[in-house]
Amino acid sequence: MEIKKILGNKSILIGGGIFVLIVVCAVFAPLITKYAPTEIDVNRMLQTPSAAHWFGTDAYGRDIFSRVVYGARVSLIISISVAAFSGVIGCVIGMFAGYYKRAESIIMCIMDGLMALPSLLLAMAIVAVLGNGMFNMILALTISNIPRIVRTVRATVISVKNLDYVEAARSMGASDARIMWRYIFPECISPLIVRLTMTMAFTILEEASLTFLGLGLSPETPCWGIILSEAKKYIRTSPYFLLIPGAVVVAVVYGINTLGDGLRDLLDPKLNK
Amino acid sequence: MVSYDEDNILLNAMYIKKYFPVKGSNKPGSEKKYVKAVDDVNFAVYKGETLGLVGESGCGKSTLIRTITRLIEPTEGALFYKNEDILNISSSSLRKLRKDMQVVFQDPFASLHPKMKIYQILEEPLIINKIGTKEERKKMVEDMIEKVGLKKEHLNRYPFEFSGGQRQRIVIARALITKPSFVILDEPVSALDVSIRSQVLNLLEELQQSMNLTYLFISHDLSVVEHICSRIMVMYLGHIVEMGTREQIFEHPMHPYTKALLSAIPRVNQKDRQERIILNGEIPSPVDPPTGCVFKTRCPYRTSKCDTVPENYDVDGHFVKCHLCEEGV
Repeated sequence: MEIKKILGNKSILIGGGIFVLIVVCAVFAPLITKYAPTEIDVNRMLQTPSAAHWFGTDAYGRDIFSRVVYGARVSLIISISVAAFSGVIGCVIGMFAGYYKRAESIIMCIMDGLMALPSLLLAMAIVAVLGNGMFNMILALTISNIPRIVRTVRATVISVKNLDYVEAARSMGASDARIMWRYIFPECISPLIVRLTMTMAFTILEEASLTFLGLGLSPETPCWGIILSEAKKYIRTSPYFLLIPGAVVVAVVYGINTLGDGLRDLLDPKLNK
Repeated sequence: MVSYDEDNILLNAMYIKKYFPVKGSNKPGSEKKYVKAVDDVNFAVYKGETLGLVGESGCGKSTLIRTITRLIEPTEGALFYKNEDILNISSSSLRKLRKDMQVVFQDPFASLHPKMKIYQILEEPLIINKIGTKEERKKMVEDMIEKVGLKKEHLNRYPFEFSGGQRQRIVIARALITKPSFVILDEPVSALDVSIRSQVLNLLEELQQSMNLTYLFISHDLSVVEHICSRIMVMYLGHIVEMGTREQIFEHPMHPYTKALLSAIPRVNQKDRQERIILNGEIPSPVDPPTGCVFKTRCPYRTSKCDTVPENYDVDGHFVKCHLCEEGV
C-alpha cells in the first residue's frame, strides 16, 4: 500500500532514481571506473571525450569520469551531512524560538546577527579559524546554513501555534513537548523539506566556492567544486571539461529538488489522494 | 430537573478579572493601560444544567472561557470546580481537571489537525490522559464515533474529507471521549449552515441526557440559546449585566441591554414582534470603558445615577446590574 503510493508519485520516482543512481555510483566508484581519480598522465592532457575517457581528461591528464564519480562521494557526504545537521539543529532551535516567546528574542537576535554576514564569508571565517578539512568544512557550512532554517521553521511555528487545534490539544491537557512534536512539527515538514533540498544544492556550490578560494579540501581531492573551478580556465578551449561535470551537478540538484517535492506531496494527505 | 442548591454547584467563578496590558503603554512617562476583557465576573454553574452566555463580539466571552479552563491565567479572582480551588493546583491535578472539563471550539475547520486521521484525533485525549490499553482505546473510539452519528469507516479518513456538520460531530466526540462532566461549547453551531444547526443541537441535547453532562453554552444567537439553555447570562463589555432563568430573561428582561438584544431576534409571527430598540453608537473600547455603569453611553434610560457603578440587584434569583432595578422598575 505504502510502496504503491511511493511508486505512484512521479516526482519521487524521477528524483529518487537520479539520487539513488548517484549514490550507487559513489559507493561502487572503484568498480565502475578504469582509472584512479588522482592518476596523472601528461601524455593524455585535455583529451576530448572518447571510448577510453568518457568525459575526456583534464589539464593533468586525469580521467574526468573517474574524478566525477569519486567526487560524488565527497560532495554527497558534505551536502547530505550539512543538510542533516543544519536541518536537525535548525529545526529544534526554530521550534523553541517560535513556541516560547521568551526564547524568541534572544535566539532571533543571534540568528539575525549570523544572517547579516554573507554565508560564504561566515563559512570562510570559520574554516580560517578551525583549519582545512572535510569535518571543519561541514561544520562551517552547517553553521552558516542554520539561521535560514531557523527562520523557516519559526515562521511556520508562529503561524500554526495559535490555531484552534493546537489550543484544543492544550485544553485536552497535552504537554508542551507533545504539542510541539505531534501538532506543530508535522506542519513544519513541508517547508523544511523544500528548504533542505535547496540547502543540499547550495552546499555543493558553496563547497566548490570554498575550495576554489583555497579554504576547503586539498586541490588533488576529487570533488565537484574543485573539478569545476579547475575547468573554468579551459572554458574556451575545452568546454566539455566544464560542461559535462556541470551537467552532472545540475542533474543531482534537480534530482534532490524533485525528490523533495515528491516527499512533501507524499506527506500531505490532501495531495495524496 | 436541575436543582439550584448550593451543594449542587459544579463551577463557581468569583470576581474573575482578566486585564491584558496594552502594548507600548509601559514606556516611561505614559500611563500603563489595560484591556479590561473580563471585569468582576461572578457566576455559578449547577450540575446538569445548560447555562447560556450571550453577548456581542468582543464583549469578553471567549476570554472568560479561556480563563475558566485555565488556558490563560486570570488577573484576579477565584475559581472553584467541584469545591476545589483550581487556580492554585499542581500541574498534574490541572491535567486531571482538563479531562473532566472539555471545550468544543467554534470553528470545526480549524480545530481538527489536518494531518491526523479521525481515529488518531479521537485517540489523542485518551493517550494524553493515559486512559486504557490500545485495544480498550480502540473500542472507546469506535463507540464514541457511533454515539455522535458517524460510522466506524469514517475513522480512517482525514478531516478535510468531511463537511462542517460532520466535523463538528467529530469535535464533539473528541471532547466527550474522556467522559467529562462539564463541557464548554464555544459557539458550537455558529460556523454551521442553518440546516445543520438543529441536528447538532439535538445531538448535544441527546448526549447531555445520556452522559449526564453540564454545558456552558456560548453564543451570540439568541434563538439558539432560547432553544437549548435553562439559565442565561448576558455579557456586555466584560461584565455580566443580567443573569436569570430562560423564562426570566426572555419573558421579563430587566436590563436595557438585554431588552435591546431581545428586540433584535427575528420573529415570524406578527404578534410576537416587539418594538425594535436600536442602540446608538458602538461598543466602547475595553481599554477605556465608561466610568460607572458600562452601558451608560448607549443606554436609552440613562440618568445621573449611571455615573456610579450599579450593584448586582437580586430579584428572585434574577440578577441585574442596573440602577433602574433599584427603584423596582
